[in-house]
Amino acid sequence: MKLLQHTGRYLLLFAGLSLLIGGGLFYATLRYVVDNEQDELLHESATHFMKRWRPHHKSGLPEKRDSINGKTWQQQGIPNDTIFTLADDVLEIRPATGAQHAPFYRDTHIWNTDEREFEPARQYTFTTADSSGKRYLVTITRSILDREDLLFTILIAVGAMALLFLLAVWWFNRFAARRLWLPFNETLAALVRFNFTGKEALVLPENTTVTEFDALNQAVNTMTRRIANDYESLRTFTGNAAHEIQTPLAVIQSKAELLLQNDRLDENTLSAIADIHRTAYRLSRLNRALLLLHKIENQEFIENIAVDLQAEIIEKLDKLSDNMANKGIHITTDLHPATITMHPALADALLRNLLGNAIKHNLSADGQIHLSLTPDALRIRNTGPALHVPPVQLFERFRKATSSTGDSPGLGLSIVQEIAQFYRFKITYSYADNWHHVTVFFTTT
Amino acid sequence: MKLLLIEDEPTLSATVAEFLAKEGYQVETSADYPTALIKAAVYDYACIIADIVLPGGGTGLDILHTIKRQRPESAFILISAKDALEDRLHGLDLGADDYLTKPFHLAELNARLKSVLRRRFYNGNNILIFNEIKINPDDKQVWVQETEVCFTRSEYQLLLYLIANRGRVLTKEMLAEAVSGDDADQLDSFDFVYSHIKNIRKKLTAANCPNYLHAIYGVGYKLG
Repeated sequence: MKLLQHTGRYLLLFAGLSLLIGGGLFYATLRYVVDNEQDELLHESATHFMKRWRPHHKSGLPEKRDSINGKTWQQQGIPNDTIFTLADDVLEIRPATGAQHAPFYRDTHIWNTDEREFEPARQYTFTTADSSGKRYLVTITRSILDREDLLFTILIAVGAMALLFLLAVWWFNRFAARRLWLPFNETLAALVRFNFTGKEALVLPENTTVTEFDALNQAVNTMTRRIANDYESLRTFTGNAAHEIQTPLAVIQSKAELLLQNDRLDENTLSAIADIHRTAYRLSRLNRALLLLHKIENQEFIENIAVDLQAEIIEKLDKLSDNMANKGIHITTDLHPATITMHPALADALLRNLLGNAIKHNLSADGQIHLSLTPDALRIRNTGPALHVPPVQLFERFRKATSSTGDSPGLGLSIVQEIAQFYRFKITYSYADNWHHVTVFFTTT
Repeated sequence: MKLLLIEDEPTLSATVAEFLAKEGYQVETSADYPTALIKAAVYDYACIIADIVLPGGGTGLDILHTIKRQRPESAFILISAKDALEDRLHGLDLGADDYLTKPFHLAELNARLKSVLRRRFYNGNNILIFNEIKINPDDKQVWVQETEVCFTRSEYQLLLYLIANRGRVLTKEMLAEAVSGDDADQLDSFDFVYSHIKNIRKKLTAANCPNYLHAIYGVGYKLG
C-alpha cells in the first residue's frame, strides 16, 4: 500500500474517531444546557402553581380566575380531580405515601391523545405539605418534543459539517502528499535506477524546500559518491595489483625454469623447483584472468568487429580436442553460421571460458558436451555433478562450483558474465538430470 | 649470433640474458628507450627482443618502427605485459616477427626465437635436423632417416617444441601451452601431454629411432 493511502487511512480513522467523541461531547453539553433550561422552566411552573393551590377547596384552585401573565391553571375535573394543566404542562398532585424524598427531575414519556402516541417528556417531582401537615407528592410533566427536534436538527447540521470537513481533509491530504512528496519519489526513483557497479554517483537536488528531503538527498549523494569512489579505487587497485604482480611472477617463473636446467641438482630439488615453477605459472594464469576482468570493466575493448563465431568455435574445439579426448569427453555439435559484432579478444575469452568450464566440470568418465550455435544464441550443455553452490553464486569471482577443481581459480564464469554484461547478452543457467545448460543470448530482446 | 634484449626489469633481463647466453647467443641488454634505440641503430643484431612498455620516452613499438626502416633484415620479437590485442596487431603490422605475453616460459621464447631466426637466416634451407630426425616446417613433414613418420597436429607441435629445446627439461605446463596456446589457461589438467609423448615415442621407435625422450620424475620431459 502506498504511503499516501496509509496516511489517508490513519487520517480518516483519527478524524472519524475524534469527530465521534467530539460530537458526543457536543451533544451531551447541548443536552445538559437544554435540560437545565427546561428544568428551570418546570420549576418555575411548579412554583406558579403552588402559589395558587388551595388543598382544602373542592377544586383545589381558587374560584377567582387568577392568572399571571395570562396563564391560568385548569383543573381537569372528575375523575382526574388531581390533575391540573397549563399550556404544555401537566401537573398531578396526590397524597404522599412512604418516606419523603428530595425533589428530582427525570425524562419520561407522556401519552399524546391527539397524535395517539407517546412523546418524550421531562418530569419534575417533589413533595409538599398543606397547613394541616398532610404531605403530597407533586409531579409536573412537560412534553419536550420540540427540544428533541431541535437537538436532532443541530446534530444533523454538525454531522454534515464534520463529513464535509473530513472530505476536505482527505482531498487536501492527497493533493499535499502528491506535491510535497514529489522530491522523495524522485529520490526513490533515482535510487532504484542507481547502478552500484557504475562509475557515477547520484546528484540529487539539495534544495527541495523540505528540510528532511534535503537531508535525505544529501545523505544519498554522499553515500553514492562513496560507493562510486570505493568501487573505483577497488577497481584501480585490482588492476594495479595485477599489473605489478606480473613482472615479479615472470622473474620467479624464468628463474625456476633456468634452475630446472641445472644438471647438478638432484631429483628432489628438481621436483621442488618444478613445483615452484608450476605454482608461479598458476598464479600468472589467475593474474591474467584478473587483468582481463579489469580491462573489460575499464571498457578497454571498444573496437568491435564482426566475429564469425562458428569458425572461432571450430578452431577452439580443435585446440581443446586433446584435452577432451584425454578426459574421455564426447562432444556433439550443431553449429550454424553466426556473426556477432564484438571485440575478437573477448569473443575468444568468452568461448574459451565457456568451453573450458564445460570440460572442467564434466563427469570423470563418459562425459558429454553438446554445443549448439544459432544466430541468436550459443547453447552449451554438459554432463557433470550437481553444484554445491546456488546457481546465482556461480558467476561470482573465486566461486568454485565443485571442490574437485582445485587448480582452477574460479574466474571463468565471472569473465563470461562480465563479457555478457559488456555486450548486453543474456545468460541463463539451469541444471537438470545431471546436465548443466548454459545459454548465451546474443540479442537482448 | 648477436641478440639485443630490451627489458627494464633488471632481474628478468638478467635471467633471460643468462638463458639466451646458455643457448649460445651473444646477448646485449638495454633497460630504457634512448640507450636501446642507440644500440639498435649502431650495432647489427640478428634479433631484437623488446618489451613494449619502456622507461625513457618511447615504447618497444617505436623502436620496432625505427629499426625496421634502418635494418629490415633484423628479426624482432615483441614482449608485452599487457596482452592487448591492439598492441599485438600493431606490432605485427609494423613488421615484428613474433609476439610474447609476460610471463612466458623461457622454452617458449627459445622455440619462437629459433623459428624466427630459421625463417630469416636459413631461407630456402629451412630443414630442422636432430640426429636421425629431420623436420620440414614448411610442409610439416617429419622423417626418421628416409622414412616419413606421420604425426597428428598436436604431436607435431610438441615434437617441434621438444627439438627446439633439446637438452632442456620441460614441464608438462610448458608442453601443454605449446599445444593449446592461450587456451591452456582454461585447462584444469595437462595430463593429455603424457599420451602425446607416449605416441610420439611409439612412432619414433617404430621408425627405428633411438628413444631420445626422457621422463624427469616430478618435473616433465627432456629430449636428448
